[in-house]
Amino acid sequence: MSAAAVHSPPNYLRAEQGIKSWLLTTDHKRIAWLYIAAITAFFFVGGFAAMLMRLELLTPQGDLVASDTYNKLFSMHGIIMVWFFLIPSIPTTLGNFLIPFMIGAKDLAFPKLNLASWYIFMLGGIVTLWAMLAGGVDTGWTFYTPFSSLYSTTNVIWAATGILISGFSSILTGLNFIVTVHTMRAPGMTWFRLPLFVWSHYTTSLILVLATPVLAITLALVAVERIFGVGFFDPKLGGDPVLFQHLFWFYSHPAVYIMILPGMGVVSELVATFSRRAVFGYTFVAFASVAIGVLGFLVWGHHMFVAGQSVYSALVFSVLSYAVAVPSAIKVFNWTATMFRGSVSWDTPMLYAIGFIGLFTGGGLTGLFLAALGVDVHVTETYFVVAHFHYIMVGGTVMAYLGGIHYWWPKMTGKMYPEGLARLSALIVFIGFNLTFFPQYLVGYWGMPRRYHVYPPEFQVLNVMSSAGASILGIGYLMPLFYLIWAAKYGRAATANPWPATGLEWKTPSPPSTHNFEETPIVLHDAYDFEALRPIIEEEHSHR
Amino acid sequence: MSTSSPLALRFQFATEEQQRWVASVGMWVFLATEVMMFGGLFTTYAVYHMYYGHAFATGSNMMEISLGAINTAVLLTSSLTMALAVFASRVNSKMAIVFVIATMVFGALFLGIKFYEYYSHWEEGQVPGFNFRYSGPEAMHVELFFLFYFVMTGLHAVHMLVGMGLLTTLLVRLRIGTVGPGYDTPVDITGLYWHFVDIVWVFLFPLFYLVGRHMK
Amino acid sequence: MPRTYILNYLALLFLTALTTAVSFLDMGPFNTVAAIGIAGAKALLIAFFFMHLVDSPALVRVVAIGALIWFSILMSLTLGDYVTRGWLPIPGK
Repeated sequence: MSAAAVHSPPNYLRAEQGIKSWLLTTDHKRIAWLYIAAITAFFFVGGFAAMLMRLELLTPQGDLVASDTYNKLFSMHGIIMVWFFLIPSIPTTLGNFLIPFMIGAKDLAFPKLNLASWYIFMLGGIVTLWAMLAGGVDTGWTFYTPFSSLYSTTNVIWAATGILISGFSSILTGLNFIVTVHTMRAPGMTWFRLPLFVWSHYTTSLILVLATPVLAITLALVAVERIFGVGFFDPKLGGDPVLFQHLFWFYSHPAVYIMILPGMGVVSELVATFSRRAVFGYTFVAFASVAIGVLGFLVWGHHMFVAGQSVYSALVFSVLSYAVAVPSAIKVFNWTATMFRGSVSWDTPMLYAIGFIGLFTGGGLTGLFLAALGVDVHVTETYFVVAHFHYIMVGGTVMAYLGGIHYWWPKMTGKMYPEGLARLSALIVFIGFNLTFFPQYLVGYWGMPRRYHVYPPEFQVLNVMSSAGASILGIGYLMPLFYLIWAAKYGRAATANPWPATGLEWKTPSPPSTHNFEETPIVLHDAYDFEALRPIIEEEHSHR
Repeated sequence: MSTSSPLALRFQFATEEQQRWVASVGMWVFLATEVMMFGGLFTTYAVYHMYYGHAFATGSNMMEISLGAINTAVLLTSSLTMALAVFASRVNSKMAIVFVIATMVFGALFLGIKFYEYYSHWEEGQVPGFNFRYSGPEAMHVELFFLFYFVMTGLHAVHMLVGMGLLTTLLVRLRIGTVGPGYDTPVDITGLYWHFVDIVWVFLFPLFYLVGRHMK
Repeated sequence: MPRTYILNYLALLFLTALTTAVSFLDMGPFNTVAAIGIAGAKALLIAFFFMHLVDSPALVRVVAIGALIWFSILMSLTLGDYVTRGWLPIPGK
């Protein structure tokens, strides 16, 4: 129990009260909460679209919604989930909250810019939601030309504008993280003493900063073409629609690494803490993060194998796509090796971490199937691809996000969540997830196209399984929404270091004070120094 | 000193030197994002130049080369005065103000010439999507060239306008004393931004004004 | 230093005049090389001297070089597709 409460400053939640103190805050911890609220809301909006899609797909006929409406549903689902949930998810919530702690700083380099990022994000979200509600957009989240630029009659410009605006939010967050990690580490906090969470977020920030501007200009060019009736992708002027795809995927492939790398960072922390061991091969994992970030920029053409690019170009992208799998595999091996001979405990965050490792690996392996040119021609644009990326983004990122939220919940709120209920939810999520998405590999391989709401009757059984799984998954997601909010108010009070874990954030009270540290810490050990924790571990065990 | 005064040390920094360094790194990272944004446009230009070099040459020969060259010189001069403003702001606010005003004058001159050029193109029926009426060989590719011209120089002009806004803010802050010797960071980073916008123009000039001059 | 800035400025003006003049000579494909090359030289002069890259700490130089490298990735892999189209005697490849 935190005995110092009487003499220490009020924690960051209590320090100032009232709505203005939240909406005008520059405290990275409060801004993290602003983002948590926003992305949770967007997650359920995107999830609602998914629910309607899965309801429609219960039957082979298109009987719930018209084809045009279905197009708008999957577009809305993709746009909201990619740009308004997955890309911001871990970095703007856990990243914002934890990075200053993990490096020993009192805030990010640019706190006001951090708040501006949130407002820009919200503006982008509102514009995009407006586009969805005022008629929707039917181009898919990929906005391929010439449909998006010339033929679609839906709110393409509004949607593109909303996404472009949110892109600026991403860029500013990435910029903030990069500058912070380079310039504000505490004395003794060398690069190789940083928690792997920071390495992942640093790499993610590099991608945010280098890739997102290309998305911005590409969407702007589509808008120009729609507004002025002439464009760069219009064959009437000699333009090439495939060029749009080059520019779009130059961003959107690295974007998937923006989505997964922070999750990997979370998993590194969880696996270390719940194996009571330093992550095996720390240096390899750190460099693997950077390698994923760099190589991730060199593979975008694998989304365009059947689009019309030259065969030589396709060959190069295929080879590079195999290469990018290697650092991901290194991480999986190292996490597994960390658990081997570790003292593993099965708390909820660890359940999510292990779920991540298994599901990410499965999804990653199917990525290799897709990187093979011959196989890709057969399964591209089918549900095989849909299953692949959902294994990574939902089985990977969302699991890591939930694991991280549970793990740091005591630090962020000062309260413990109910462990039994949480483990049950994790199990429900795992079961629901696999029931939803594994059948999609099968129907895809057997030929069911993606983005269609009508399919041959022989695929119905698997589609029904998938929709049933989706309902279970939905329950699994709703449960934490309720018990975490309940726990924030009524949960058992948490100690400063309940797990216990290494890392500077666990040396502060739960919840921490506004300026994080009374005095700047001086760092003398490596990142996962469990030896030094031994006395605390023993004390925790005597209390449990 | 109140904590809102920019001369004060913000709580998240250990020293003023760190604060200055952080601002500089931040601006450079921001400029990297701008490189990528303009980079998308330059890449698109490169692809179509490869295919339609002849039409691009035709289009380029319809530009007024003297205006382009003069504008290049004007912008380079504004970069000189900006660099001098940054130098002066470390020691003398009044000189810094003089050079910032000079930079703004040359910036405004650049924009004036640019808008005059846009107006002439309008008069000549060279604006795609509005009144493009060139009907020579490969007219559609020439129209593509002009589309590039308006989008790329237009985006550049937008950046110039933002720069003029930043310079105006600097002028006010130098005048009232919240920026000056002792806290010259805003002048420094505005300078970085202004020079970057100049670098973009340095590439736009040959790509739009000098293609195919030898074919005339 | 002001002297460096003025010398830099004069060099930039000279290069502008040079690139303009050279554009009127017919050098075939080297026209493009010259134009981009001179523009690149001007950009380097602005970056090194006006933007102080010449005496900036390493991190800032890494950021500048990084941006250039990433731009060249975008440019080269995209152009790589267009340059190699039609190399196989198969329509559409």
